[in-house]
Amino acid sequence: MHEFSIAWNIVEIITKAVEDNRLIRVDTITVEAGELRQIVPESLEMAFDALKTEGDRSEEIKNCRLKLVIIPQVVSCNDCECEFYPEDLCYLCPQCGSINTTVTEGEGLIIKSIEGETAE
Amino acid sequence: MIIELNQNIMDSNDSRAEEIRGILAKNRVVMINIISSPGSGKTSLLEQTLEKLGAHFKLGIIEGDVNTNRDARRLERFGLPITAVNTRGACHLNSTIILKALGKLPLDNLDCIIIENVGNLVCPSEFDLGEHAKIAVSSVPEGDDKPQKYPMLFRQAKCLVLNKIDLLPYVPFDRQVFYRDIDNLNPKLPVIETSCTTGEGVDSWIEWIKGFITNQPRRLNQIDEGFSNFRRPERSR
Ligand SMILES: Nc1nc2c(ncn2[C@@H]2O[C@H](COP(=O)(O)OP(=O)(O)OP(=O)(O)O)[C@@H](O)[C@H]2O)c(=O)[nH]1
Ligand SMILES: [Mg+2]
Ligand SMILES: [Zn+2]
Repeated sequence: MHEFSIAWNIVEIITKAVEDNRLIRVDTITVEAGELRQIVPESLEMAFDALKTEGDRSEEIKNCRLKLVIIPQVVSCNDCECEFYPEDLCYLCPQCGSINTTVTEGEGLIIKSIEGETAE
Repeated sequence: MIIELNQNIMDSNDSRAEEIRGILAKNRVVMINIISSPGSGKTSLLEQTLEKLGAHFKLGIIEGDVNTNRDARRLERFGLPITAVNTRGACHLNSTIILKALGKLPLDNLDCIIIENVGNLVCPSEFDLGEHAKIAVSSVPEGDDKPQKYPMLFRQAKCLVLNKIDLLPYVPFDRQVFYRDIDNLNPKLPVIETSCTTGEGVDSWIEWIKGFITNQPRRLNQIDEGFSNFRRPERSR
């Protein structure tokens, strides 16, 4: 259940964003998770919903919806420079067979954006 | 209105991991993080490692456990600095826990710290602890499909120990499938087969870890004869 720690961090980050941007209400936050992070969407949602309404959490985030976007992997070959998807979890370059490949997308875990209402 | 944040969710963990890297570098200590499912043999491998590596390097241990300190007690007989940490139910160690544990170890007197993470194949690989290497342990009775099912750990690991090879004759485990999947996932990953029960292959693991510690860019406080604080491992038998 690493989703719980992740949800905890998300709530901390948006609580701060509410203060920084003087939001009176947060409607949606968009989270982008790389495919490799193995996040179970239902678990993240459940943990987030539980944590955002915890006693001392600010009112502004209590109705916030979490939108999770899974980012598929992109691997690039350092030898022939082709880009590919690691079909069947094979990270060898399908074009030249090289083992020198780097995952360029699909490993991150970020809060992309936050949507809400400001004071004025 | 929409506010673009683009903020790494693991920032708080990662920044503390960065702090840990600074502390380790300052004290010239290498840190290794052992990860596996429950019961693959992390503590057993540690027992073997402390016994054989303790003569070459000054070792410290951080023993992660969900709720007890049973594993830490198993290692007490080696007389090495050991800190037991409980995650209080959580399925992984994080950098806050490790930062605190480092404060309890004699860092200026250590070459290498070995962490035993909580038994779990998914969550520990999410958390940067500031370590120099994650070591994955997989064991024969778990089956040959673990790399396919938990790719993140096997991608991140610097070395993979395949333990309990003494059980190969008794349980279905297709070595070819296992190695094919590893070669596809992480072709540069060294795999070392061991049995902590018979001792087979343990020497290869010791060679690997010796090489790894020695090749880190740092000056080692190698043990010399005159070093008085170091207590030789006590044998219980
Ligand atoms: N047959 C066999 N059994 C082993 C081997 N290594 C460990 N075991 C046994 O497997 C069981 C679990 O070993 P541990 O070393 O406690 O495993 P662990 O990964 O530390 O377990 P947790 O800390 O609970 O996650 C023990 O009963 C060990 O005696 C091995 O190479 N072969
Ligand atoms: Mg153990
Ligand atoms: Zn290529």
